[in-house]
Amino acid sequence: MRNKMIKKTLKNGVRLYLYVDESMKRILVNYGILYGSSGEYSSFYLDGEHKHVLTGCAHFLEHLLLEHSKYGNLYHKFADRKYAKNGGTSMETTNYYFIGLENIKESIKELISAIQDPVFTNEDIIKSSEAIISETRIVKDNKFRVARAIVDRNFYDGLELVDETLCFIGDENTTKRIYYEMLQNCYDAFYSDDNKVLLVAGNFDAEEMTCYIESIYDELPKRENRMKPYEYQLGNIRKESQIYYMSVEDDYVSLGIRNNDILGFSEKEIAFYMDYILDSKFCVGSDFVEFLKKKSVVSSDLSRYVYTNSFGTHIYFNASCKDVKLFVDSVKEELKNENLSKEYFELYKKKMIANEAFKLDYKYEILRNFIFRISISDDFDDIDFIKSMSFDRCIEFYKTLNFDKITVAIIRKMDNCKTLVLD
Amino acid sequence: MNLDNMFEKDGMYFYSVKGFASIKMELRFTMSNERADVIKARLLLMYLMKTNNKYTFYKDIRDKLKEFYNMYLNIDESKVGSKRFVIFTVKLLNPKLIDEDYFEDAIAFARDILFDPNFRDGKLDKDVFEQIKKDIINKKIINLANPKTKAQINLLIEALPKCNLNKNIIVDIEEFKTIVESITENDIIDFYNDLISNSFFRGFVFGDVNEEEFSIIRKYFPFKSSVTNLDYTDFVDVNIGEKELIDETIKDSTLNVVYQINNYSLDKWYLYRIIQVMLSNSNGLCHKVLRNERGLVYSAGSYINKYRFWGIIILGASISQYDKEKCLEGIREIFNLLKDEKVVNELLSFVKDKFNQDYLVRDELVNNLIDEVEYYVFNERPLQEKLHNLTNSVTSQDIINEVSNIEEKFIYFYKGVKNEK
Repeated sequence: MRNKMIKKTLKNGVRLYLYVDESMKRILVNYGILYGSSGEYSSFYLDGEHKHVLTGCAHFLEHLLLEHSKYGNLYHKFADRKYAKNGGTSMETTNYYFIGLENIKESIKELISAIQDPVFTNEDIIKSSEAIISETRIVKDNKFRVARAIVDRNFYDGLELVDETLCFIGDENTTKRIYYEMLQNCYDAFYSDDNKVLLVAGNFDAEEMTCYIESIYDELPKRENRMKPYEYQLGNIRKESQIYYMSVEDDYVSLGIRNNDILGFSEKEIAFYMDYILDSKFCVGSDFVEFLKKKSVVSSDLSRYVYTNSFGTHIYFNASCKDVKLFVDSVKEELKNENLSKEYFELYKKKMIANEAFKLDYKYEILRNFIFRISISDDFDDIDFIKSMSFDRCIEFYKTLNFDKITVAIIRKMDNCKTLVLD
Repeated sequence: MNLDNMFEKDGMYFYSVKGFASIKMELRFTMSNERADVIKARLLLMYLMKTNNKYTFYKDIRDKLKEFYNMYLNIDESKVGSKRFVIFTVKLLNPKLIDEDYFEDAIAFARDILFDPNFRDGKLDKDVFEQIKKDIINKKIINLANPKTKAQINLLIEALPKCNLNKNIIVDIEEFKTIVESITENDIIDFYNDLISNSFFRGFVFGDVNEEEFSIIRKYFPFKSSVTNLDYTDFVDVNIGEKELIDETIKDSTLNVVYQINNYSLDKWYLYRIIQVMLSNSNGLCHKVLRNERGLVYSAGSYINKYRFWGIIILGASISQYDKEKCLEGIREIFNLLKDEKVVNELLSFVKDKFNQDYLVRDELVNNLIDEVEYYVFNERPLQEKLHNLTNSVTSQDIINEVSNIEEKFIYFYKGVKNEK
């Protein structure tokens, strides 16, 4: 099971990952571009010229490239071959995958070619926008996603991680404002070969697969890196708090805390130590959470997660609150409370080792999400890494954190929140 | 699934298979469908996981679970057709993968959680009991405020008023609070005693476990089943009519059309499974007609859930508030297409190929195998092999005949009209 990932760089700069496993009956192919919905990608220089685009472009391209490829709608073609397949756009990545049994080589070639050699037109843009607009409505009705978008929007004064639509993929208006040249610029800037990652997993010969993939790229246009990132002046928090009205009972709160000065720790270490700290203090049933519930500060458990990008590490806490101010103050205080225990650290390591070992049973799911987590880990399992983690180093890490740069999103009950019945 | 790998004793089934990290044990106990009992069950289950005679505080239980390599322990209640169960689940990491023999200790801990509750002096821990009552009420309030949940609940109430599931739906939060607050400590203890002593149905153990380890499980969980096979039949009539609700808090609208399958029979499950894929797969008719041809939706599909809604198909689409009529027209066209031999032939060929491929890889995923063991043990569904043979014998005329038994009955439109301008 352990670390079977073979890592290579192809002649054109594409990073290739091969996971060879005789027990896998199907082949999984996951093609990723290190470009996503984050607002950091909305300003850039292409061939030296400054460009500013809408943040929904990454997601739009995800739809467009496969729905309107030179092979027609490639998703449909893959579905005809009975594959599991999809595309996805996160803040930092775009990815396309399929899992199937038959016609695999042909499908790999078609997937790579569709991405490498796009043929979309203005008319295709209009067609794809219908489904995208429908998708934006669904996202905007989700309180969790809206709250997260507000926090991300307000983290930095000088950078809109999310634009004024408060939706990672934009809304109806912004979707209609996306046009051919804008998408072409994004494609030219971010779909360069050195920004691509290709993962193939299954039971195959690694050398033969590498040669085959090289031969596909040999016949396709090369995509050189023509992009220079825009340098943002991050500044302070844009807004300390923002209220948005939706259908909720108690206030639904997302508290965001940003850290931009964690030095000397890898992203993998940051992810591990941060998760331990948050698990130790805020997991379901912890003294702190039970206290908040008992005192009716919150009416739900707390969920929390961490997002790291090139600017820093961002912590999010979500809960339904009866007293927002007390919730925020209490979380800040608990974060500063030096109550981490070595005993719990060792238990937490056991939990994380188990999570890695369980990957054996969920290979397809893990590998399907491989690209989303690639900045943190590009191995199949991290058991050795987890075993090497130490409590002393964790304390050292904890001391580098500051919990003062805070922004709060409050989803509040709409005054006119009513349901009318029409018979 | 290979039945040679399975043996049974006193209603406990043992399926030994190598190559997986997961070891799973599941025990099912029957319970009534009555509204107050369902709430009692939920309170009891929360209580058992919060405090215990040996592990007084939740963090003691939490730490123990981590000590046993993130052991998963859960007690839940769930409805299957007309029946309702309390389900006790244990999931362990195969100790052989990490060379640490904690199997018996972990099983003994699971035993403590189920058999040694914190009923000191015949009473519950007052603080914990009050807190879980508060938690369950808060959870209900949060759920009822969610428009998507509200839409689903209203659909059930309006379209399926006689459905067993509706017995437990409470939309009035005051009524819910009254029931929760009226439940006493003694009610919980009585419910527990009845559950443990009289209600065991069946259980199974799945994974890389040998006979010696199975004996360990039998030692700590010495249940004997007194329940024979259960009849899950739960036929309900769909209301005839149409309902529209307007919600000013959301942007997206949902159109559901509820169909009744006349002459529904569980023996024909394989046919309904085929119809479901014909409708819902991304190559299915819902996507083809509503998304690809008419550009009305991002997602649309159907569900035929044989145990939640007996003999009922619900087609659902997420649409703009302005597209109800266009979408309804599209849905009706979908059903007409299911009566067209050429269309059905093509779809059936696709579905058979898909199921045949799935059959080839069925033992590759742990959840596939666990599901199959579960269906077999609890008599919920035929084995894959039988389904496979039945599916391959289906003709397009069988599908067309079955579709003629499907009748449109209820249209339900949850209209989101939020305007941010």
